[in-house]
Amino acid sequence: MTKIFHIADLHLGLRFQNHPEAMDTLVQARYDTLERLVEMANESAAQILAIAGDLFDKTGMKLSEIQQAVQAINRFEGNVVLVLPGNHDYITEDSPLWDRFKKEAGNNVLVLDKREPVDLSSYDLNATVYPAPCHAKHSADHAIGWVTGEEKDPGKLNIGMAHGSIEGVSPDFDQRYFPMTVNELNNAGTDIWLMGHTHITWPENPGIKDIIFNPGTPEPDGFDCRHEGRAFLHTADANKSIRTEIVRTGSYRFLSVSQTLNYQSDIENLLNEFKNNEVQKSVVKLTVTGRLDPELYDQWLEKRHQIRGSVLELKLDDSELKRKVTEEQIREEFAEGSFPERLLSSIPEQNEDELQMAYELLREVKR
Amino acid sequence: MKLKSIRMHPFAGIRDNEYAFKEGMNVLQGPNEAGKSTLFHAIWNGLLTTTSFTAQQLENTMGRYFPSSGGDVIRVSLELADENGGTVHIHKTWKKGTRNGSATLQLSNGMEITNEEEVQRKITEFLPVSPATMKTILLADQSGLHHTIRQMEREDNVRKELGDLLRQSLMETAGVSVDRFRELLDTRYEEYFKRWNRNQDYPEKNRGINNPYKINTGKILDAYYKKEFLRRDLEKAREFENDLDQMNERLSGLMKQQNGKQEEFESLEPLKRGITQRKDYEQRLENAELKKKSLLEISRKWPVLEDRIRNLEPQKRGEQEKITKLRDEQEKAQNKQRALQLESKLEKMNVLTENVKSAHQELQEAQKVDPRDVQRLRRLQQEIRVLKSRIESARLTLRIQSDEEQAIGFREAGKSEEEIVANRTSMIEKKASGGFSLSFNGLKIDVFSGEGDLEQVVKEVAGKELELKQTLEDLNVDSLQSAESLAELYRQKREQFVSVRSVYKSEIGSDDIETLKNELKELGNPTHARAMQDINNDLVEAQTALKTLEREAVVAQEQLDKWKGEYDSAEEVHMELGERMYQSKQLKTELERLPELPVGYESADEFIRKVELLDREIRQLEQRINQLKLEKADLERDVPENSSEELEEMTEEAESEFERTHKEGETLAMVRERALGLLGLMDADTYSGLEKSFLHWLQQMSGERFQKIEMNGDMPSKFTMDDGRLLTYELLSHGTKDTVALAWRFALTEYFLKEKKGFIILDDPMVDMDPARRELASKAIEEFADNQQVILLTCHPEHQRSFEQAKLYKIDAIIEDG
Repeated sequence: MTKIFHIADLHLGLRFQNHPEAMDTLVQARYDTLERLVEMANESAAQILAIAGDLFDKTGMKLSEIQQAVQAINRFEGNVVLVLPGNHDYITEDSPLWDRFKKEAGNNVLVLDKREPVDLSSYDLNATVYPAPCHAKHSADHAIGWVTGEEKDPGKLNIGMAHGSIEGVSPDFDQRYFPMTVNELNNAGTDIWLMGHTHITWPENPGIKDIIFNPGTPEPDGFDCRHEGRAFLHTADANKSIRTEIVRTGSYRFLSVSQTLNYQSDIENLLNEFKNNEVQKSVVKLTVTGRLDPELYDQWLEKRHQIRGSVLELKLDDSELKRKVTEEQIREEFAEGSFPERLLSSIPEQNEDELQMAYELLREVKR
Repeated sequence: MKLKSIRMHPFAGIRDNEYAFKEGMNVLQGPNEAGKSTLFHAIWNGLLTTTSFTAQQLENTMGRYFPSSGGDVIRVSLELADENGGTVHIHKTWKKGTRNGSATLQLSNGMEITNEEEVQRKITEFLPVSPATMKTILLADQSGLHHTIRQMEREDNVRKELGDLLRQSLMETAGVSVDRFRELLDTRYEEYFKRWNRNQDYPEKNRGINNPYKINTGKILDAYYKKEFLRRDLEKAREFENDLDQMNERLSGLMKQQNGKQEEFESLEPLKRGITQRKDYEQRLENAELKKKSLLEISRKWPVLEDRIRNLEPQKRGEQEKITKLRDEQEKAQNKQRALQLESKLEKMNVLTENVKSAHQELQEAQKVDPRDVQRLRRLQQEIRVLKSRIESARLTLRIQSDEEQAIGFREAGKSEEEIVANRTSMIEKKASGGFSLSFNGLKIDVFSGEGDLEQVVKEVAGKELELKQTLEDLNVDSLQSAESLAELYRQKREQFVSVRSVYKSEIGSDDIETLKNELKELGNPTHARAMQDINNDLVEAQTALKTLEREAVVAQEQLDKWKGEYDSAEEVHMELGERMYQSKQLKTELERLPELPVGYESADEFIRKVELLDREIRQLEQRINQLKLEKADLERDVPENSSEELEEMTEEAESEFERTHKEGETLAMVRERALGLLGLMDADTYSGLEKSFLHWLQQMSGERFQKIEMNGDMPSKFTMDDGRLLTYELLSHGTKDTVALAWRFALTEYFLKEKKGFIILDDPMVDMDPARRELASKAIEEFADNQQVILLTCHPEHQRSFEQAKLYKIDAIIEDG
């Protein structure tokens, strides 16, 4: 039985410049997650820790950052760590990143830098790995072509490792990210494919028949990452039948929340939602829409800062949340024939934004 | 704000006096110069004039209010009631000199302010209208009520204030300040659209990100720059990443190439030494084999050559003998040929000798006439002919007749004398050339033609004829022609002889007959011989054969000599050959020990060249790799701060932000446009309320004489009277103008003091009105005083009496200085 703790796309060194408030926290979180991942792998008694590309976000990492990463990886207690260079941390013939990484890495850490089979028997494993490392950030051609032609030992677990887009799974409209197809992977003759690149988990519910696995990023890195950060724990039995469980790994979340506020209760519910502790570690993109009575709208304006205080960073777009401005309200608030009344009444109903803005401006100067 | 009291202590002519006012109507009556205007100015200055003056400013502004009796200080104290009924105290002191004055303000809450500037600011704040409006409308002095309209025309501030007030009443229901709203719209519009050209939907002056505005930019421009800068960064990042990809690809390619070559080099290089040795041994073996071959050849040819040289000698001799024989045969054949030639020549010479003899004989026999003689004869004959022509041209005719017959000797000049016989019967006629002589009877007559030298000519002719004759005789010829003929004949004979002799000489040459004959004799009679040509051919053949043999012998000898020089003897050649064969064997053994040339190479040279080429290529690749690494380091020095993926996200966000801001700005612009349009429209109605109020007061004061007022904006322009006349303000009577001005002031004051409490000072407003009109005006003033405090100053006691409910003051109590 072989246990593989499979992660990919940690992107150490990602800068999060778009999140000025959360930036420092998020940058550090990825290193913390790596340490936690190794601990999890150890706890699960995995023999193999497989990192299927993009451990680093870029090739130009600082020495201290590389050291921090390798130190964490060196703490893996299983048989071997397989590190595949991905398209962000691609390897070239001269690669300061990987040269340094190898120098710092322990004896059981293997950088899979060549497209050639690696027999893992020297690590007490009856397995061969067929790596497809990336040699550039972009490529219209994948790196797995050579695997198909290799003779496989049916008595061993044949592990493929690749990094790139998979047709139908990951968006790659320009075919720039080592694009592969499920067919190509299936026909390569390996017993399992440990993939990386796509930040979402695929398959979402891994089954016994699946052999291609992409865990997604272990630490969420943006709003398009809806999960909580994931890794796979694969267990291959003697018949090379693979059982895969999803491991939740991340600390921080990127939450896109859309909410319609029309009533007092809507506001309260939303505010309550952000009162729980979970969201404290979230970067939240909150889009609120709806129509609120003037006093409710004022209430919203008054209370919305509460949300900001309860999350790591808030990107609030309430431009589509409007104060309900009705004809009755206008008449009630402004005497008929007065300038405000005439102005507001002259705005066609469908020009909601205009009506809203005119109203807000009038209120601003109202004594 | 209402006026509660005023104290002047002193001010102008008043030493110390105080007046207390009530709400509503207050009438102060006193004669002209009784201090009405002093009171008015004290209120005015107490409220509106600063106490902080330079000495000169003080003199110009307040100088006339200092007591003429002396003193360097004037004071005004005012008590006012604020909106809440509290009392506000104002004390102002103007003292001569620079900034010697002082002011204090005490508010109803007890707060006291003594800073002059602050006091004045607070008073201004406290006033119900601006100081300008205060002066123009509320505190208009007695210099003419009707001036109010003219003054207002000049006072922009007042009109603006009025406009604001009117608009306010019209629009600011629920407390929205139109002006603040307008200001807010402008501010917000500026916040969004500063330096943004809405028409082009682009930065002003086309200043995109290549030349961006750094300061004073609006939100839209900021958002635009942000997204465009990010977009540019994104493009740069993509470009950088592509460049890096390409460079890495090139670098990887080169390094792979280098590794491949290095591997090949490392596999081949160890063989290089062995292959180089092999090349050397192979060369040596080849040389040894060649030498062996050469020695074998020598050893084989050496005895053959010696034999050959030996065999060549008899052959050479045979050929030599053959040549000797042929030469003898050749000589004999030549002798025979000579004898035949000699015989033929001698025969020919005999004939020629005969010819010469015969020609010589003929020449001997011919009469020899020298051509020079012939020449002399010709000349003589010619000279004679010429002379005779001369004589002939002097021809004379002689006719002789004689009575008696007589013989006369006649001789023509140059001729011999003849005898002629003259007689009577016949006339003898004689002709003579040149002259003639007649001789008869011993008489000789010579007749000559010309001057007489013809005789000489005749003589000369005779001489020459004699010489001719003599010559002919000498030559033994009878005539010149004969002489010529003989001379020609002789010449021919001579030529004949010379020609024949020449042929003879030519034929005989340097020989002579005898010698030839002797030679022939010596040759004897040669026997028969072969044809010369055949002999010659055989001879050439024999000579050629001999030469060939000789050359062969020389070459063979030279070769042999050479070999001898190298090896001394054939035995030595054999020994050398043995050595070479041993060496070959040795080399072959050595070669077996050395590595074989790898497959695919034709020769060791090709192999060595390949190894050297690989070495060179590896070094060249290394150079290129190093160069590329430098270039890559250069490229990576400018690594963008963010990756293209991060920038894509940031750009997208910035674009959304721009769209949002732009949309907000456009919405704002729509609101602003709509609001300004509406304000423009509503402004047109601004003054209709004023017009109504004005008409109300005017009708009240005129007894409905005015039907309608036309306004030009904020000013009345035309009045429609009850009789239908349409009058301008200028066309109204003096009294009516006062009525109109008072109504106008009331209308205005109503607006200025709307929802506020204030006071108005009217300085003899009814002075030019007839009693009926005054009655109406009084009522109107009293009605006005129901809402606002009115302080009316008048010098007419009857005017004072018109006001029943007014607080009345007699101002004659005022002590007027001087």
